[in-house]
Amino acid sequence: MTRPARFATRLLAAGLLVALALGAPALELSVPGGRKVHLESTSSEGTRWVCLDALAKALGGQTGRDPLSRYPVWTLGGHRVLFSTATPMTSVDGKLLTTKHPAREKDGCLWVPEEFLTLGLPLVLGGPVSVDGAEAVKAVPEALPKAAEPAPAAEGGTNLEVAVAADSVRITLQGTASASAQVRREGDALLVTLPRGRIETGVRDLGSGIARSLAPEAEGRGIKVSLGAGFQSFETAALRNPERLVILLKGQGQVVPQPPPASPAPESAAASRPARSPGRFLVVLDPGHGGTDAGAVGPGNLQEKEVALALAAKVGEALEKGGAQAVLTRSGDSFVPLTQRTAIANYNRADLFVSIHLNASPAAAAKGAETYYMSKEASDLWSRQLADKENSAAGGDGGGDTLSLVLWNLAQNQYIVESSALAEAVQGKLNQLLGTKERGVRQAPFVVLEGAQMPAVLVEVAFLSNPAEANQLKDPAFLGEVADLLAQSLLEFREKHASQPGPAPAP
Amino acid sequence: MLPSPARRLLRNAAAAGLLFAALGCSPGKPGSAPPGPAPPSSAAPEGRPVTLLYLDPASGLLAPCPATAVLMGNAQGDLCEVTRRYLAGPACGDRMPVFPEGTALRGLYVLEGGIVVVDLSGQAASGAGSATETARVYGLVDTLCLNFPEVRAVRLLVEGREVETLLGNVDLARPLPPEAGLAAPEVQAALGRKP
Repeated sequence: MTRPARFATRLLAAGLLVALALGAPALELSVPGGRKVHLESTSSEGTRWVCLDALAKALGGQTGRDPLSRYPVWTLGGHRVLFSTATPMTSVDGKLLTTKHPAREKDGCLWVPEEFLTLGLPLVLGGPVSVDGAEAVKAVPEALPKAAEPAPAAEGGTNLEVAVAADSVRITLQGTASASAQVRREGDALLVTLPRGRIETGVRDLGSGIARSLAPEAEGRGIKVSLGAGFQSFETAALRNPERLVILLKGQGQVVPQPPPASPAPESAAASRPARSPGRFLVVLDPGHGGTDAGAVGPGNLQEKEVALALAAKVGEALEKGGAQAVLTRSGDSFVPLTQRTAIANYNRADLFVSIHLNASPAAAAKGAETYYMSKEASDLWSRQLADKENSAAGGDGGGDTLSLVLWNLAQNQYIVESSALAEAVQGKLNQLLGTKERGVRQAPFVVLEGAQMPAVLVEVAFLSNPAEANQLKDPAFLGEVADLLAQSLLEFREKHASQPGPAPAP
Repeated sequence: MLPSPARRLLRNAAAAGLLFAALGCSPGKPGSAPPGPAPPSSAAPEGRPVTLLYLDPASGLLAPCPATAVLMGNAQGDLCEVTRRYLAGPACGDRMPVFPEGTALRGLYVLEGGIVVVDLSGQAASGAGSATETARVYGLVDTLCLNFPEVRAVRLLVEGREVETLLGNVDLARPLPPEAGLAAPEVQAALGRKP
């Protein structure tokens, strides 16, 4: 090559490098041991993304696919990271992390969002990780609330968790001996006995018509569950990763609200939830649809996405006036995937999640509000199917953490009783305004509710397909009135339920 | 031919030994004889009463509308027949159809464990609103579960593909059990008895 040609080639290469650098800003990762790693990244949707293969090349380990789910996986030093491209969740050794965005596959690369680097990498590398000198993305929690993580069992011990719902009581034993526990009915009691070890619990009042209370038996090697008049049947499921036994008691048991315990036992559901900061009441409001998805369209091209956004903004203002915090899943006319809307609520550790919509029906005369919460029927069926799948997964090589990711979609299962009460509260207020009582509260497995780790409802304020109601929805004063009532119902719900213990975490 | 996601769904089911009956519904007009073995008797098959759930505009609930269908005792063929009947719309004047006109049944598959996969044409996914969507999805799911006690849940496909939702809300990524609360009181008990 001649000298001018070599010069031209070098100039071209330098130009390409500059272009690459401009299009792909470098990211400096500081990892334990004082080491600094530079990675190329791309920017979109307000965050930076790095290629998993580049990360693995810099830090080591192997990338591939989980044999069961085909999810992308990265293994490093005995740690296993499983990425979901469907939901904004990552599993690190079975612990679930909520990120702002799901990982994405493009151009032969798995792109992981920057927040994973500060949330997930410290768990893999065993120490703090900073990106460009910042240890954590602003306002990002370090991980999911502890309620989502199983409490560690004492050596040889078995932990016990209880979740009480209207038609079931679920008792979860977690520990190495739990899968071998024997469960039998004796008269009005269910006896659970471990082959070894102890069940860590005291006497507990369950406040359900299905199971009234439980108490330790056989010097801690078992428990006795006192059955109530509403008890009908029970079933058990032994699960792996971690080892646990789920005992599901079914029946009809109206839940009796329990006063908060004077001194909560360490194993109680209330104690295992993260403490809520006094005075912080955060509601994530989700204006339905957006962007290319207009939702329902009423007379005069009145679009659901616009009305929902205007209404959500007003509800947010009313909440702020009432001393609460409000976060909107979208503040403009943009499309936000359904699971990402829920992830925003989880990410912010919201107290409530309210998705705001306007309805449409083939029946033009249909009018009034409807409030939906998660379907128990669907949730129960899917949970059973997942438990079956988990139990049939060969060898347990990754099935557990894969299913943890999938189970994230069913997080709302734990909050159905509270969501039902929230739906009643919201619907009651809207009925007052709209004078409609015949539609009311309904249940359905809505995608946007499934993954919410807090009480969650979807409210259909009125019918855009009804000309009279569509006309009302054009009126800012009417929207203000609806917003004030919605905010009032949420604040009242908070006041009423603030002192009650929350549900138990998922097994 | 089915697009790859639906093929994968059925292939996985078959590999797991879960595919109980994999014959697609033959193209046919509503009310035509379904595929399957001929009845043992040489007499012409008689119509049998079935209950189809359509929208009651007054309550917004799914209310019964009696109909007659020629059922041959072949689960897959009978499910096809009732689904076609359902998509054709109500014959009761006080009930409203929930699927858009022209929505067709592309295929129907019976998996082990009482799971039925129903493949609908693209018209099924047009429209908006939770009331429209829940009536549409559960009108069909509840109708099949009500008339066939062995059906525990229904999975819906559109144009042979797995879809996240029909109109933006109801999760169609998994089989749906009946939702008694969306149905009129007179059929809630029958639907609620499902395991």
